[in-house]
This record gives sequence, C-alpha cells and structure tokens, in this order.
Amino acid sequence: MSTFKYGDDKIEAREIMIAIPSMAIAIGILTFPRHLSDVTEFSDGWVSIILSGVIAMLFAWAIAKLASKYPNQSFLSYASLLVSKPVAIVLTLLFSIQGIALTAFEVRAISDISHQYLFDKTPFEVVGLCFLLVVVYAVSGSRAGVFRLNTLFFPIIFCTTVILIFFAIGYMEVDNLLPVFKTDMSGYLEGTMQSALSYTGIGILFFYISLVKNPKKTPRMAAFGMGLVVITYVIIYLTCVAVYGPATEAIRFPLVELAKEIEVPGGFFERLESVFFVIWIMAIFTTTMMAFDVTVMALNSIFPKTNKMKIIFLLSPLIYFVSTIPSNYLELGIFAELVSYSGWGLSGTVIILLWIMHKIKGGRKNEK
Amino acid sequence: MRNKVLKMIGWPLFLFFLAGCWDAVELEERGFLSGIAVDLAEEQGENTTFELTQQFVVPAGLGSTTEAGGGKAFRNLSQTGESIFEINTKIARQANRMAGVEHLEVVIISSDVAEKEGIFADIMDVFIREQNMRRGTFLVVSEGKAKELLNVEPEQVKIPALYISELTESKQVTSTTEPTRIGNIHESLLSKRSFIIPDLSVFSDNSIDYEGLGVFRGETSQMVGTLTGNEAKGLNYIVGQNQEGSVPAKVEDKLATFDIANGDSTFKLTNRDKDNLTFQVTIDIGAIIVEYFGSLDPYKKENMEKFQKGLEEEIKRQAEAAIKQVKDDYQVDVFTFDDFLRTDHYELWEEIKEDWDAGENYFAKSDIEIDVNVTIIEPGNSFQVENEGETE
Amino acid sequence: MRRSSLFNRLKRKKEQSRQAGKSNFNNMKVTKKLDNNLSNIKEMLGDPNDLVVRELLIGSIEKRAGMVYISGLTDENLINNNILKTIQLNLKQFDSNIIEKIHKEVIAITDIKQANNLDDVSLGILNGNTAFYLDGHETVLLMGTAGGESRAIEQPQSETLIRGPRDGFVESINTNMALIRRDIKDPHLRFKPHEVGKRSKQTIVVSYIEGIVNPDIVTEINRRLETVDIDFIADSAYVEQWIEDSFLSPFPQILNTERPDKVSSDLMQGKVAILVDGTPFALVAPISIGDSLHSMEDYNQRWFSATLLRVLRYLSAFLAIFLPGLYIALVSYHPGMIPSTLTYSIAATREGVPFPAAIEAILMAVTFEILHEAGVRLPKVIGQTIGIVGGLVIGEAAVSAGIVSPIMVIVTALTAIASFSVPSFSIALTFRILRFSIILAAAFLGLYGIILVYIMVNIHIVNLKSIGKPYSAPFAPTFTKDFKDLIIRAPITSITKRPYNLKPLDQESKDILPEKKS
Repeated sequence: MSTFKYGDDKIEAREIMIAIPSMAIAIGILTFPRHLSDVTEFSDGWVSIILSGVIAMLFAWAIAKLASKYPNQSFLSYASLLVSKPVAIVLTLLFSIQGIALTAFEVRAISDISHQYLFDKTPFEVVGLCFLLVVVYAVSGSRAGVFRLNTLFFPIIFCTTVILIFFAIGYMEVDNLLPVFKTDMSGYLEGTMQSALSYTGIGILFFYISLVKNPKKTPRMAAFGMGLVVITYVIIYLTCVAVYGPATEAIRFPLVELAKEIEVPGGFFERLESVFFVIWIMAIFTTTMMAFDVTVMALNSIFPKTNKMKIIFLLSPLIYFVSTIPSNYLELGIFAELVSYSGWGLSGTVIILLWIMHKIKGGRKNEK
Repeated sequence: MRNKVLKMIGWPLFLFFLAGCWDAVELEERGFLSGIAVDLAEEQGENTTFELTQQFVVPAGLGSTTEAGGGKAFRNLSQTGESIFEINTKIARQANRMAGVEHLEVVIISSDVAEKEGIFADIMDVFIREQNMRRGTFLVVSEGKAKELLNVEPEQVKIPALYISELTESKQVTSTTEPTRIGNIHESLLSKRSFIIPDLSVFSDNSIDYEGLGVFRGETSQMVGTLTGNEAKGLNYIVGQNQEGSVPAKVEDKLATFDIANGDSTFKLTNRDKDNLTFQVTIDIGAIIVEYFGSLDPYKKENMEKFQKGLEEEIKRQAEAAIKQVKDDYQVDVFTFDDFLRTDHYELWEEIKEDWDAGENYFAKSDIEIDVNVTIIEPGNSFQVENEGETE
Repeated sequence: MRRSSLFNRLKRKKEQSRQAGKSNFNNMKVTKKLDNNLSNIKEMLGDPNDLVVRELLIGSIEKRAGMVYISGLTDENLINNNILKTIQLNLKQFDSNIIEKIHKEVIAITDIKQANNLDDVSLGILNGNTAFYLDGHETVLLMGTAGGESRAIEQPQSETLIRGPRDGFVESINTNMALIRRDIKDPHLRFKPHEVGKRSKQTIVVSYIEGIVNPDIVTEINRRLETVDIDFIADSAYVEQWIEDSFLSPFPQILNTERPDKVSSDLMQGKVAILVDGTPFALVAPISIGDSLHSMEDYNQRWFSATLLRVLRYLSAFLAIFLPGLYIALVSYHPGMIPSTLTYSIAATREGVPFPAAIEAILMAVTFEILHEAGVRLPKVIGQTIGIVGGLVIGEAAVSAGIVSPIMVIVTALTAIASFSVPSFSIALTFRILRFSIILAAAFLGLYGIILVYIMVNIHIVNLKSIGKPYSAPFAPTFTKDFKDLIIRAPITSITKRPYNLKPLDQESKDILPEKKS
C-alpha cells in the first residue's frame, strides 16, 4: 500500500518564493516599458515600479500572513470560517473566473506575440491550442510537479534575462536616462497604476499557502519573491530606456526588440533573440500553468467529489473559447487591463475583507 | 496514469498537425534582401513616386571557402510606385523567391528623396514598422542615384550592400561617423532631434566614396545639406565621438601628421540668456605623431608644446568651420547640445525645446566657444629622422 | 495509489500462478527406499544425460547410498575428494543417527542442508548441489558443490574507464556479491535474496547498507520485487521493466551498471542495488536525471577536469537532443536568427537539394540509426566495415549525389558523436527518441514547437519518479547541498555528505567513494 512517500503533497516555503516571480513575470514584462515610459519622463518610471512593487509586496505579505494563520487549510475552509460559507464559495468562484480569464488571456497573448515574431501564416488558433495543450498536460500532473517546473524554469528565465542585460550594456546611452525626477506627481501615479498591471497573480497565494509544509516563513518568502520581481522590472526598465530613449514608448514589445537589436560579436549566437524567445515562452508558460492550476484547485475545493481531470477537461475548451474572443490587438489590450485590474481588485478586496473579519473573530476568540 | 493517456493522445495530434507546416519555407527558397535603395522616380505621378531597388543575394554566386562561386552574387530588381510596401509587392512579381528582410544590411536613400520635405519620415515608417525588420539595419544617404550604389561591385566583397555596410563601419578617418541604425533614426524622429547620416557617392566602377555626413533637420526630417572633409571632422571633435584618424597640421610651417588616439569633449553653458546662449566646448585630444617633415625634437618640452599648439590650432580651425556651416548655414543642431541642455539644464530646455533649432531657432542665435587641449602621447618610433643643422 | 494497487493486483495474480505452476510431484516426500527415490528424481527431471546418478555401497556400514548431481553445474573434484572419499574412508560404524553423523562429522563440505521433500531436492540439484540419499532414510543431504565453468572476471564491456578498477561483474551472482563485499567491509552491508522466475527459480539479491539507506526505499523495492511474476529472467532488464515506476516513460528510471565500484559507491550514497543471477548487469535505484549523465570517471579524475568533462557531457546531451531540431527550425522557419554569412553559405549548399530540411534530417537520422543498429548487431569485425560503408555513404556519396546538403551531414555527425558521449546506453536511447520528437515539432512549428516539446519533457520529468523518489531531484525539489555533485563535481574533500535527496539515515559520510582495493 505504502509507496515510498516523498512529501509529495506538500511544498516548501522556498517554492512559494519562486512561484511568485514565476507567476508575476508574464506578458507584462515584454510590454510594460512602453506603457510606463508613455506616462513618465525619461528614466523616472523606476520610481513607479518600486512604488507599485512595494504595494504588491505588502499585499503578498498580507495574504501569506493571513493564510499562514490557518496552516494546511484550503482557502474555502478558512474563508468560510471568517465570512460564512456562501460568501466563501462566491469568492472562490470569483477567483476561478479570474483564473480562467487570466489563462485565456495568456494563451491568446502568446499566440499574438508568436505571430508578431515567429509566424506569418500559421493560424492563431493552432498556436494557442498547442500552447494550451501543453498547459493542460502540466496541470494534469501532480501539483508538486507544477512547483517543480517553476523551480526548473525560474533560474533559466532569470539568468538569461541577466545575460540579455549584460549584452545590452554596449548599446546603452546614459544620456537617455537623464535628467532624473522630472515627472510630476500625476505621472508617477499613472505610472504606478500602469506598472501594477505587471504584478499579476498575487491571488494564487490564497490557495497555494495551504500546501506549504511549514507556513511560518511564507509571508517573508512571498514578499521576498515579489521583491525579486521588482528588481527585475527596474533593471529591465532602465535597460530599455537607456537603449531606446524616447523611442521606448513607441515600440510594441520593447524587450523583444532589445533582444533583436543586440548582436553578440562573432559566432553562431550573433543573434540572441532565439534564445530569448525560449525564455519568455517559458515565463509565460509558468504563469498560465499556475493560473490554470489555481482555478482547478479552487473549483475542486467547491466540488471536492469531482475528479480533477474532469474539471480540467471541462475548463480547457472554455478557456480556449474565451481566448479566441478578442478580435484584434486593441481588444486584447482591453482584455489585458481587465484581467489585471480584476485580479488586483479581487485580491485586494478579499484580503482586506478577510483581515477585518480575522481581527473581529480573532478578537472574540481571545476573549474566550 | 491519466496524464500519460493524455500524452498518447497528444502525440498523434501533433502528427496530424504535421500536415500543416504553414510557415515552413526552406532556406534555399527564400530570397535574401541585402540592400534597398530608394530614389525618386523619373516620372512623377500625383503624389511623390519612388523607385525602389532591391538587392537580392544569390548564395550560389558567393561560392564556398574552397571554390570560388561563379557569376554574380547579387541581383537587383527595381520598380516604381507610391508606397514602399506596394513597390515591394510589385517587385515580388519579378522575383521568384519570397523576399525576407531578416538579413537586410543597408537602406540607401538618395539625397533627392531626403531633401524633399516630410518624405523621409514617411519612408522610414515601413522600415520601423515591418515586424521582421531589425532596428540594427544601417541607413545611408547617397549623392546621386541611390541604386547606382547597389551596382558597385568591388573585388573582395561580392555583394555591394555588404560592401556599403562594411564601409560605413570602418573607422579610419575622422570625417566619418558611427554607422546610423534605423533604430537611432526612429529615436531621433520621435523626439524631433536633428541627426546625421553617412553620405556616400559612387567613386568609380568598383568603389564607393564616403563623402561625408548628411545633415537632417529634426523638425521637418529633411536633409538640409552635407558636411564633408574638415567640417565633418570638426563636428566629430565637438560631439566628442569618432575622432580616431589622422590630422595633418602645420608645426612651424612644416607639415606634421597626427594620429588621434583618444578624444573627448565637454560642454558648458556660460550664458543662460535664451536669446544669446553661449556654450563653452572643451575638446581634449590625445595624439601620436606619425609623420613629420621638420626636424624638431619632440622630446624637448618646448618643442612638444609647439606640436601641441600646431594641432590645437588645426582642430580649432576645423571645429569652427563645422560650427559655421552647421550653425550659420544649416541652422540645425547636430552637435547634441540639445541632449546636453536636456540632461544638465532641464528647466531651460523645457522653455526652449519647441524653438530649439526650428522656429525661433535659439540654436542659431547661440555662441559656441571652442577650447582645445592636445596631449602628445607618443612621438612615434623614431622621433627624428633628419637632422637639419639650423635647428641647433 | 494507482501504482500500489497495480502492484497488489500483480501480487495476487502471482500467487495464483505460483499455485498453478507446481508440478504433480507437489509436496511428494522422500521415501525410505533408495530405488524409489532415485527413480522419482530421474522421472521428475526427465532423466537427462547430464544427470549423474551414482549408486554406491558404503562398505563399513553395509548400506546402499546414492548421489545425484548434474555434471555441468558441479565441481566434480569436490564431489570425489570431499564427499565420496570421506564417506568411504571415514564412516566407520552404523549409528541410529547416521544422517546427522554424516552431516556433522564426515563430509568435508561447509554448505550442507537437509531436505525431505522432492521439490526441494530437485531444486537443490538444479542449483548445482549434490543430493545424497541413504537407503532407509527419509532425509536427503544437499551438499553445496556448485561449480563448473563460468566466465572469469573481466573488464566491463559497456562502461570502460581510463582510470579506475578494471573488474566487472560476471554472470554468477555469488561472484558479484563477493566483488561488492570486497569493496565494502561493512558489517551492515545487506544482501536480501528473492527468488524469481516461476520456472527458472533465479536468485535476485537486493543489496543495501543498513543504517545508511532510507528503509522506505528498501521496503518499496522488496515489495515490488515480490510482484515479479515471470517464467525466466534473461537479464536484469526484465526486473527493471517489471518494477519501474512508469513503463510509459522514455526515461530509464533504474540505472544499470557492470561496475562493482559504481555499485559500491552508490550503496554508500544510500541507494539500493539489485543483483540478478545470470547477468553481469546490476540495477541501481533510485536515481535522478543527473545520474544518467555521470560516469565513475568523474570521480577518478581530479575535480577540475572532472567538472569540465561533466559540463561537456551535459552539453553533448543537449546537442544530441536538440541539434537537428534547431537546424530545421532555423533553416525552415527563422532564417533571420542565423548570422547572415552563415545563412548564405547554408543556402548555397542547400541549392539543388530536393528535400525540405525536415525530410532531409529525418532521412539522415534514420539512416544513422540503421547504421548504428547494424553496427551493434554484427560481429565486431564486420561492424567496422559497416562504419566505413556508412561513413562513405552518408559523408560522400549522398552529398555528391545531391540528396543531402553537406551542412546536414555535419549536423547528423555532430549529433551522433554527441549522443555517443553520453555514458549510459539506456539514456542515450531515450535521447534518440526525444531527438525525433524534437525534429517533428520543429518541422511543424519551428522554434515554438521545440520549446513546447522541451516544456512537455520537463513536465514529464517532474512528474516522473524512481522508486517513489522524484526523478527531477535534486534540481526540483531543490537540494542545493547536492549541487556539489551534479553538474559540477566539487573537490572530493568537500563532498562529505551523502546526497540529501535520497534522505539517507546516516548523513555524515567521509567515504562516499571507498578506495578500491582489489
């Protein structure tokens, strides 16, 4: 009966730390320099990134803290403790809808960007379908496998981004960064709003913390993981602005163009973009996979008797269908904002609501 | 177990898709564009009509390392039309292979086109927007017909476009500049900064001359003139880039040639009155004596100062010539004073940026003072070749 | 859960079939009559030529006796000198407890068992024992006289090292156990025997070091071995395939090796070895993806060179899997990603080649696989000829005939060489399978397809297990302390801990790699 168990159902706090950047770094990393430099002057966008990053870190910390107060309890069970079961079910459903939307968006976005740079004639549908199939394959494996994939891919994504920036040094012009602090307050605020869109998917923490073996350390780890994202974003933003200057706001995917522009002198790897495509598809893959997995997890907590595979097979066509809805790049942009803002809104309201309820109920407990 | 079942379904699915391969085009079935030349067409229609010449690489003509290729390694096709992309499709009717711009080396714009107001930015649009275009593609301006440049076939490079791109990259003389990339032009166009583009012309059947630098006004993105020879050198001294190269100068009436090893320039704003801005430009140069017709011993301090002074005067002369032409004649700022003002005097810049080198043209109204510091780094291998009695 | 229920089902099935497999001599006892006994055993074994039935009269006690053995399996000198002679000479008088006396005092052989069941006797004889019947007694003495011809210890054929011990396992399990014992003189070294083979009755020995290995691993392996239900095991591969975690995976989840030093060092790390009688290949489990790319050579060279060699091996593994696929993707889909001059020279060489790059690559890869297979199966002398013919056919003729491009030949050759530098043959086979899937993916979706397949392989690996241990450890789940001996091989003085990912009981280890004394 007893197969040699390897603590398969449980994950380490460290894996949460890796899951956060794997989740947050997605399509946003390719486009955010454009949006951000649109509303801020010169290199000032980094202030906005840090501002929104700190907010994201706070949120991550708060969610992890709350969830770790109910170790090994699913979101549904501790939310029903705090805000009664029907409300908890509604919240979980909202999270799963958000997850479906996010998955669908990423699937669509990957086919869009592949079309921009890799394909001409291959239909969007096929590109997206292949990607979705791989995601389904990943999600249908064990949940620990999802985290292991993050652990495998994250160092690759991180290292190659560092390499990209290293090679970009030769193309940078410091003049493009100067002068500093010339943006007005509203610019910073708008920039903060814009860059906040790139910190997607804090909501996963509500669900994944319940898997952590020893959740004491998770709040710190979650915040630290978010910190990694902030650092990455700041560096990428500064690189893009230093290389492109005012053109940053006019390039559709500044980071991809960066990889295209850089030529390593001599040899086979003169054109590095191929390598970077691999990396970004991986980054987007991890996000999509976790968004899907959390959705499945959320729905599974509502319908505990339903087989996980059944949920996956029911959701996949739905996701695929949603991903084909936006008919052009403008609608896709609106879709993106919708998904991001709803993610922030949902996570934000839920965490504030739950904290308040926790304080009230926790207080009561202490009285007893 | 289930995911394995999924995989078993997945693989045949892949096989099924294999029938697709929508985008697979074999390498030998692609045409590689190496150069594009844009000219004004002989017959003008309602709008401006262009003549577009595309240079395709013929790989077989290149030969391999062991055997020389037979025949020409390139093929030029031309068509006329009003939109670049439309002409491109017209050319596709002549070309047997799908043209790919991935390996585009150089885009040549003839000066006729560049001098027309507003045309240049429109032409650039397709090169920036098209998704397979690289921002690293070089851009040059040609005196005369641009397509002539694509017919110049030098002996050691089999593709003219490659020759042009190598030519723009080589740094031997001070009157050339960094190769201009389409990406750079994009940035300049967006911020309406004036910029320079290498200016080439056909020299003989098998060579091209790097004439100088075409000067473009940012406001209208049209070419206003060229800088050649000393003016181009002067520009480089002031900007503080690409000074490598040799400079002949008179040292006590004897010709001395210096090789410039390093150089830099710093700007200072000495008068902040916007109608009468004064810039102080300090040019620092390190030079090596490579040729000298006289007999001064550069190891002596006073002689070394003579050398320095000779070079300083020469450089100052060239810089002032450049200023005269750029500031007074063309009235466009390609000295990057705008960058300097933006980074160091932002408030002032905010005030005047709309009328910098257009409209009010504060740039043309400004004064530029040149100050040159030369350091002789090395006197050369042998510091005295002939010894004339009169020096001692 | 599913896995364990599968094993349980197999186990039940095995018990049933074990009942069915019993002969009609089931539980027949040895009788008192010598003649009956001898004819019974003859009848049971079918009275073959090599069955020696020696009847004798022991003069001193005036009793008839019989000795039965199979000539090829036994050491006949031993029988003559230590049994026959001693019984005739040393047995002085009859005793009521004569069998005990013979057992204890007379026969000069250490390994003697008593049996009174025909099945046990026949099994003993088939194992090389000599059965001694005494008329009028129901007890048979089974004397360990196993011997006969066997292969001497030689250098391992499949894993050769430049530096390192030269001995390899042989077919005899006793010799193999002895080889391990010689390496590890630890009293906690355990050999737990299993009998498998419904008809062949072979011995499998599970070897581990008690106190180091995680007992869960041993329990699990033993449990899985219990389920092995098969007539005959020609090689340890049968066992491997029976007990591996996923038979649908292209990845080998159990390592096989011919090298005692490898087995010993793996035992020291906290792994379990399975020795199978009749094959020189021992199995080692649980393993990780990295183990397949490690060689004993890594430890026998100084750490710096060993690290570089290992990095080289990882690189060649990458090339072996991805090179043809990348070539197709770049040539057919993304020519913009190749440097310009290289593009032109590839285009020039491909001019006039009738096939698209994908077909060309598949063509060449299949040709190569055929040549490889032919070279392996043929006798060594002819095998070399195949190599020459293949080299000529691929390298020269195909190119000059304009069927394939020279670049493709380079790609194929580089891939082939890279795949040969992978130390384990079974993982090299896996790489070949993956290579073809990458080729297909590249032909269909270019670089995008390659990335998707790469991600799929990763998904597969993270869900794969070797005896319950994640195959992707120590990468993920991460055991940073184990990175010292993964892609790099840290100085031997710094690898003082056993691999954490095996969760050994005894973490401290100064001697992961015992000094080989032979």
